[in-house]
Amino acid sequence: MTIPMRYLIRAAASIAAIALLTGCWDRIEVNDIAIILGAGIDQEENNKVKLSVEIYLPAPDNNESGGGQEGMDSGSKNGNILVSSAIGSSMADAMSKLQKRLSRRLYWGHNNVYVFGKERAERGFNDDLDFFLRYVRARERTNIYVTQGKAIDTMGVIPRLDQNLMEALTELSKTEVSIDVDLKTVMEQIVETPEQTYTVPYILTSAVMSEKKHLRNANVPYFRGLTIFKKGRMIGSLDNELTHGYFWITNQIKASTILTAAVAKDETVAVNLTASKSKLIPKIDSSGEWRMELIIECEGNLIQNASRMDYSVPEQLTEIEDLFEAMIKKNVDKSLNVIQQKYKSDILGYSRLFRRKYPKQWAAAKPEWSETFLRIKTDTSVNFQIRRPGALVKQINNIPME
Amino acid sequence: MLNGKISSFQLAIIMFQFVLSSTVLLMPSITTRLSEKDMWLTPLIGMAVGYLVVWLAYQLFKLSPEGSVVRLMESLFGTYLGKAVSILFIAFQFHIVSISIRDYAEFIESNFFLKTPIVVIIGTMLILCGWAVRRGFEVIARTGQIFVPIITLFTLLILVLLIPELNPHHLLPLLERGPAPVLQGSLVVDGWFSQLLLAVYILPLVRDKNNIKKWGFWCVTGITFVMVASNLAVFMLVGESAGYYTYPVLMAARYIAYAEFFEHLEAIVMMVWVLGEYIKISVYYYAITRGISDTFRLQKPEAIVMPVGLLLLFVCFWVGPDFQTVSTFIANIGTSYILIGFVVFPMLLCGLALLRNWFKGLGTSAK
Repeated sequence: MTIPMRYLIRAAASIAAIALLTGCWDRIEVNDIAIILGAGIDQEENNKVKLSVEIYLPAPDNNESGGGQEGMDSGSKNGNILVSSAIGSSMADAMSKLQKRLSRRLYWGHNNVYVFGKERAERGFNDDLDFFLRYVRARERTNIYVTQGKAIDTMGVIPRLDQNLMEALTELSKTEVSIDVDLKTVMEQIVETPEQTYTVPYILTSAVMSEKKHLRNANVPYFRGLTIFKKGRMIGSLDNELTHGYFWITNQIKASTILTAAVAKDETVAVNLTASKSKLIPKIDSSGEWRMELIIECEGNLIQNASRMDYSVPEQLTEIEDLFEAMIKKNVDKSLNVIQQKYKSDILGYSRLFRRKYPKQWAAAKPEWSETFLRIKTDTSVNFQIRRPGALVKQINNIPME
Repeated sequence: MLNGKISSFQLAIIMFQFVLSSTVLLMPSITTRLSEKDMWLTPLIGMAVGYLVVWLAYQLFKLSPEGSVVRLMESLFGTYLGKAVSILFIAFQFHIVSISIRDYAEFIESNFFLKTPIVVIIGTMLILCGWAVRRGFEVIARTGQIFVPIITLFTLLILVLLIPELNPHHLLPLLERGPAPVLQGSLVVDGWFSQLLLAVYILPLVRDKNNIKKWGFWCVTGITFVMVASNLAVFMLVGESAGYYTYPVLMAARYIAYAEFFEHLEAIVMMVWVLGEYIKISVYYYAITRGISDTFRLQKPEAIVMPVGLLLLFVCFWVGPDFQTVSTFIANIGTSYILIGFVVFPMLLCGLALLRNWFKGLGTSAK
């Protein structure tokens, strides 16, 4: 017996209908999820960890939408941020406790920032990284920061210039004061450096920064240099000046950085950097001494001349350039000294450079790398050129007074 | 019907994807663990085994009576022992393909469909492949012809989009610990290349037999190119930490971000993996069905397609209790296991057949 085609078609159609008509019975709408914009991790007593998240609430409040235009205005974009936190024995535990308190599902897919409290960083956050990297919905491009004080305090900060703290941080990372450090980079450094040495940007919260007289700036995050990690723990930090030196060494200095050199007492010259290149050349000489040659070449445009030096006179121009070269060299040497002698942490990537050129010697020195590292002498040479004087040829200071 | 004719170009395209489907996702991590900085060299060495296996498959096909490798076994070992050897070989393929399917399902399960029962993921794929196999190899070949360009294009697209993030310095120094780790890593790659031997079941369907060698060569070359490209991209992106990620290519795709809106490309990886895995499973499925029907001289081979699928579904659960057991097996014993099955065993067959022919030749010339 054969079944007629039309019955088959009917059967297929009804099966398809059964499958499709269920539709979106288990749909998850935007207002069913809690979109995490940033996460803060703090150390708590008894070795517990506190996870605080900044959640973006996409659906506007019912009251507000009823109020119409005015409601939207007064609510502003900031009204949709919620900060919530929970304490647990590990990140995963804290997250599950946090989830229990929220009626919406936590959604990590849009998280851009992890902020660690200083205490947590000093204890070491490898355990937390394991969670972030293992937990599939978190992305490797997420930036990491360490804050002086508690991470949860940064969560509530709503800067005036950006929609929320997390956006402010990511935008700031792109400027010349700081760098992006994301999960991928940290993971890479942990695996490749002999002693798990890396840096993470260090930020200040409004609570630390606010001064009564400058309340306008209270709600803005600031960068306070870099923190240094070694063997999974934060062991110290570099202030902005030392960070600058670190940037010079590692070729991370960004164009548009403004440099100011003192010519004499109360006399300064300022230059806007347009291009810069730092090159590190590792060398092991015949006596077995490890050396590093640092060549910095940069150029910039004059943006302010508050001195008696005359840019248009070639000799004086060279003198100004020499001043900048000496300043950069001093900056670099100071940073080198702190990084090598005080922290003994190879955050400069020397290990990688020596490994590339002298794999055998490197392999021998690897087990005691910090001993080798602090003995590496760095010879710095700086070449600075001022290309253009800007719109003024002569400076106002030199106009003879009647 | 298990027949239907294909061209050798179609065969090459199918075998190209057949090897690459699971490689691109799994290989960078495993080879990094074994060969560290030189992991990108491993496919270049493994390629030799690829050429060898393609040559072996072609030789076996030429030596086989009526082009059926099962008949060759029967004529070499005697009818009953030959059938037993053939069944053993099929059982081996069963094992390998279920590991493959399990790998696929675990990937989908752990990255995308977190709540779907794994049996649904495996089951739907097997129903699809079973349907394709029932319709004959021509269907698989034609779907391959449509899918493979899409898959390859998107794989390369991901690699190209990664270019700004790549750091070539990760690759230096070359051969840091000598050539030994590279060779060790290339053995794992050989494991993938050796599966090309399955072509022996498909070769009888090829219409233009004189082009087989040419396309076989290009097939292996193409596979090597994509392998090296993906290995290079992954390593230049994350360096030695590639060994710590389960699916580095997925991670790499997730890492792509342009202008703050062109992001979250991991869905492409999933699409590539599903389409590629469809081809891989179909080819295995076809080879197994054909092997069984040849062994028992079945009149209607399509009758056993669905039962074989059901058995495959069970074997997928029998291969290991969890993901870690399966992947430990792949990274350790799995390599020698698959090489014995797909390289040593066929070489033995080929050698025996050649020897026999030589003796026969001696006999006839003596008369």
